[in-house]
Amino acid sequence: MRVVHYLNQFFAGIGGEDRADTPPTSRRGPVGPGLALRQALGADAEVVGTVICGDGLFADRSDDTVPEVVRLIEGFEPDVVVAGPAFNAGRYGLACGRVCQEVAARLGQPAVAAMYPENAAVEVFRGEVIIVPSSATAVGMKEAIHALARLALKLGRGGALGPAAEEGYLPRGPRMNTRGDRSASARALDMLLARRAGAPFTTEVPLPQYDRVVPPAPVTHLSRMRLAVVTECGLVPPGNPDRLEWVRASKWLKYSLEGKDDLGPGEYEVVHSGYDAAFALQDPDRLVPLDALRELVRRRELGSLLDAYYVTCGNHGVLSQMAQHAREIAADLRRQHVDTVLLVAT
Amino acid sequence: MTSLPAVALKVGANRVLRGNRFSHPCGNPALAPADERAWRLALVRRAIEVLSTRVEGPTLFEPQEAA
Repeated sequence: MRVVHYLNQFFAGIGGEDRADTPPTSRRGPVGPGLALRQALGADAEVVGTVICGDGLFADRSDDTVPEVVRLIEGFEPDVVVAGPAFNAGRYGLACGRVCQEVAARLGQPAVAAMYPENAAVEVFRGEVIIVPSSATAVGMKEAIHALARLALKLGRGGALGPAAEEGYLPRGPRMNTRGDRSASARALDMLLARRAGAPFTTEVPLPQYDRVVPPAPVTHLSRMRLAVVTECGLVPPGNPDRLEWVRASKWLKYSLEGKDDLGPGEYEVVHSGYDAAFALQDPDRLVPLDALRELVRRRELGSLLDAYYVTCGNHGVLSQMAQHAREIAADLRRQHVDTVLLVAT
Repeated sequence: MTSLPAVALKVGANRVLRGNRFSHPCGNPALAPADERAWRLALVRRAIEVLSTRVEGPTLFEPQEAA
């Protein structure tokens, strides 16, 4: 069985964020984590080639990049394609998902990816792509590789996959019918009684993770609109005085914009590492567009701008933490009569 | 404001405006400084427009559509 492995620039050993623009390239045989994949696949399969692409280029220039990546993969004549593990890296996860999707659509071949269940890419691709759950960091590389190998072998042989819970991939949505031993009403009553007694029970229908938020009514009187900027880009004063973390941030901060008409080079630093900060350091208005907002207020196209911005770091952000930050920031905004927010995401 | 609107829409953000690259959502370093400032002004003006627009659910707005 011929297996092709897709990796980003980091796991291929080329470089980090600074090499996120690495163009699509291929190498014979396994590279980096592919070596462990080869081992896990055993005698029945071979990693015949590895296709590599920089996460930044893949995200920014997907129209050009995706066909090239698929072409390189096709060149190895795979029976199955393995992408990742991407762990909690957002752009890498998106690239892996897209690669698997395109391989199925354009080459008609099976593919499997691995990433952390809270990776943003899971929500985008879970309906179409087989995704194996992994840990958030490369600490769980071994387990992820073994799970990928197991599924790759099954998919490569043309076998049908069983339910997600049995096969070890993230549920995609479609339900398969099975025969149970008791009626739904009996099972429902058992669950209700367990809940009343405070005993554990397993829900049969897990509720979706994301709330649906009713869209707030628009603010139509621009001359009265009071806007604040909230961002996860990690833009902080030099020295990072409040010690914002560059990953899994546990806090949010509020910094004054009083007396400033724009944000200049040297006035801020970026605590993030999920994106190349060079552009933002040259001109922080590229993240927090203060110059443009001040201009709109001067021209009376915007009522007023709050003289402070709110910042956290969205790199591998823990969802429950981010929700808590949002609640606290919203309360602070309401106290200052802010009615609109520009939320800038990197 | 994001360069990855697919993610924002999926998680239920209701008003999503496509920004530039993720390392500079409100920046366009390919332009000369004065042109970049004008470009950013147009983008932020569009953001204000989005905030004054009624939506029924997660909606993607593109920067180019001028009022």
